[in-house]
Amino acid sequence: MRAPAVRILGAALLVTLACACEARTDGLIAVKAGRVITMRGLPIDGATVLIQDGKIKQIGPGAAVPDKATVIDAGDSVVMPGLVDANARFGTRGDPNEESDELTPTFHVAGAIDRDSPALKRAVQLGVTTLRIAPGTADVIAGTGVIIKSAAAGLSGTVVRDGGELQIVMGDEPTYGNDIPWYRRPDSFYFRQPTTRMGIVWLLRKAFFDTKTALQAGTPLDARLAGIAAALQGKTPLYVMLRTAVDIETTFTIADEFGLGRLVLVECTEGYKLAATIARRRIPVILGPCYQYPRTWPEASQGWDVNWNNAGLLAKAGVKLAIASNDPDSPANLLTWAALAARAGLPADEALKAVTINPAEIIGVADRVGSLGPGKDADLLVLSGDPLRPTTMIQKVIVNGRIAFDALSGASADG
Amino acid sequence: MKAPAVRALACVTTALFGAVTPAHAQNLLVKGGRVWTETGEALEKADVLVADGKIAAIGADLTAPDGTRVLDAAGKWVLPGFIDARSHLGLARGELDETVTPLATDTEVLDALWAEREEVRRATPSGVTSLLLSPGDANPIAGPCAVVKLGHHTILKRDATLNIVLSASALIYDRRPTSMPGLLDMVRQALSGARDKPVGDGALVKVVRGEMPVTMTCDGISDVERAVQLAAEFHARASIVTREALDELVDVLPGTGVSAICPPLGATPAERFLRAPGRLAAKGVKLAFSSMAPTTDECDLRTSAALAAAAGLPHDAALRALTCDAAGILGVGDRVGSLQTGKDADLVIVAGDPLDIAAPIECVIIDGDIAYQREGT
Repeated sequence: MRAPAVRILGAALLVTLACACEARTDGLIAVKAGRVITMRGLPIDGATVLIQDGKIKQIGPGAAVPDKATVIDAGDSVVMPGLVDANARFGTRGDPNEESDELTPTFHVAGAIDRDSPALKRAVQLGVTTLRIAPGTADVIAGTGVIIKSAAAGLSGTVVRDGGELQIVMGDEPTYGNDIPWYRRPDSFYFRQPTTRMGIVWLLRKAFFDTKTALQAGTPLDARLAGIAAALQGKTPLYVMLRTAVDIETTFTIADEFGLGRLVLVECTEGYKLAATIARRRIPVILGPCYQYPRTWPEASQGWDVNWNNAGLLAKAGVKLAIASNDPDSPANLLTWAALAARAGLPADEALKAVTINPAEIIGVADRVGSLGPGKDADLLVLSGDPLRPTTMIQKVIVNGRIAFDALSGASADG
Repeated sequence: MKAPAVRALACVTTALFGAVTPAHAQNLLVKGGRVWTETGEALEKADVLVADGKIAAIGADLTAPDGTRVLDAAGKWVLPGFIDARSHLGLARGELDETVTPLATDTEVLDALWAEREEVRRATPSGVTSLLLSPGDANPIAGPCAVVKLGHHTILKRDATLNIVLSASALIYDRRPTSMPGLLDMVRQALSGARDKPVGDGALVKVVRGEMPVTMTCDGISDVERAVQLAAEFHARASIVTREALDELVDVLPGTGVSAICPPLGATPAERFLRAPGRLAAKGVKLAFSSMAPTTDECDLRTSAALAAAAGLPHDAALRALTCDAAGILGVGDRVGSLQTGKDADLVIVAGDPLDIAAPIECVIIDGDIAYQREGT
């Protein structure tokens, strides 16, 4: 009875060892490029990026390439950091909202990650190496997102950070579906507030008020209140999903009422109207999606005024901004969106920052991703030319020192 | 509050309809067969003596007391009865889930069973002698599953495992939870409640004490990974049931101690699914087969095992998955799953190699009584 078990164990051990040996080829890689854009200081021409065990070891024209290193000679190509999508809404399966409640501060969208999601594989091909998956927009207090690598082995290897922020929704989306149950059962949970933006604000204000009251009274907080309390006390940033100027102003009103100090505005279509205020309050902004035309979205009962130079005007005022996909179930071609923003008036270097270092800083992972330098994660793109030129091709995507996509060989994250 | 006493009684082998297990007609001697044991050894020309529903002796040239019925198994294989690790056999259609209570820890799957259904009677010739009856997949905690026996329809183990569902099938419109994170939240809170403030000895308490294994139904590989995390978090003995990610289990399960319950492979003919059991076994993952019957209308576990064996699962591993490994996963290895003196006399006699699906099953013995005998033998 014992012997076969031992034999199976032995076999398993051998297989594991064999796999480990195979993985060793990832160990030391040298990427030779025509130009390396590090996002920290000026681009370096004719440089080599030396990668060891998934991290960048050295960058420079004179980086010594050890004999045993696998050399990727990218010729005249441009190497830049992998793109960071600060507000993605893909890579999950099923409902990204817990619809049974409008206030779900304990909701971790991490529980819906689907590593097999086709959208995630497409994101890799579009150069996105790190993304923050945001909770959905159906609830007033939506919960917390999760930061993941787009191509990594296993769930634990994929997740960079689960949680660490609270996201709320100031648009009108939480009202959708809520009504008096004409045809549903009378105890339907959709028979609830909010059905208007007044209702949304009331719920938010009540949630913050209840939490503040509980904090002042010193009563023990349950998990729900604790999640709100962390944002209320400034321990975690509060991401606010909104579009119109009036929503931005309302957000500031509530923020002032409750002393909310760490805001991040998401989508922020009409941000340009209040650019100076946002800048003065030192609030970062995550823009996107970047293809909507004015007043054409049927769900948007109020509509919103699109200004193609939203990004440029915000940047000019001094706002730190990121460009993100923020599109349900779909990744975005962030480099193209950055190029469109640049065409509309955002300086080119700001446009590149908006898809790399800025989102990394805003979501708090700049120590690992968003720029290239010794000790940083080896997440990089090999491009055929200038990143913002529309004809530039993404040739290779390297995540954690592994080639996750190679346009020239046809290999993809699927393997 | 009579329930615990009733349940305790039920844990002893009892007939489902309150009738006492019938007295065993007579003792049996299965003579001269190729007796397969779970160590992988086959005892050639060995006898199995069955008395009072148990295996009394195994060996060569056994002498039997007078009145013992002799079954000639010369040239045939004698194995433990097969164990179906997940089935809905005989359960009321469309009534497998009490969906108003998403955490259905107290509903009793046996209350949905009508053991006299035609499909139950038809299942005996398949060689399956014990099966795990599971509620459906529409509740995050779908409820306790029971291991029952065919033949006299006795309950082998009530509350054998707890079925936890990390699958979209447990997310229903206008009912909490609607999302996988919401589902995980509910299940986690229920389990941590049972761990931190245990009340009584309900299913959840048994799970966190390690007394009751969990079978976890999953869709994609990410669900499987979350299920493995959850099992580790609460030190639960777990097995995974998945159709979609069967081929990817090999990336996740090895080294975790979590077992795999294969869906009927006849219904998932893609080569990558057929190869999965072999790859899992090679990495030391314990396996069982399941019929999911009657959902797939496929009671024949042996076909699944044969298909897996044809695609690389070693012969002995396939037979173990049908018998002792399944018993281990379901926590009933002390009673069934192997041919050892003192264990329940659940035997299958096959005309040839059990994994040769052309070899007919000659005889099925459950609790020492002949439950099926092929015509003309």
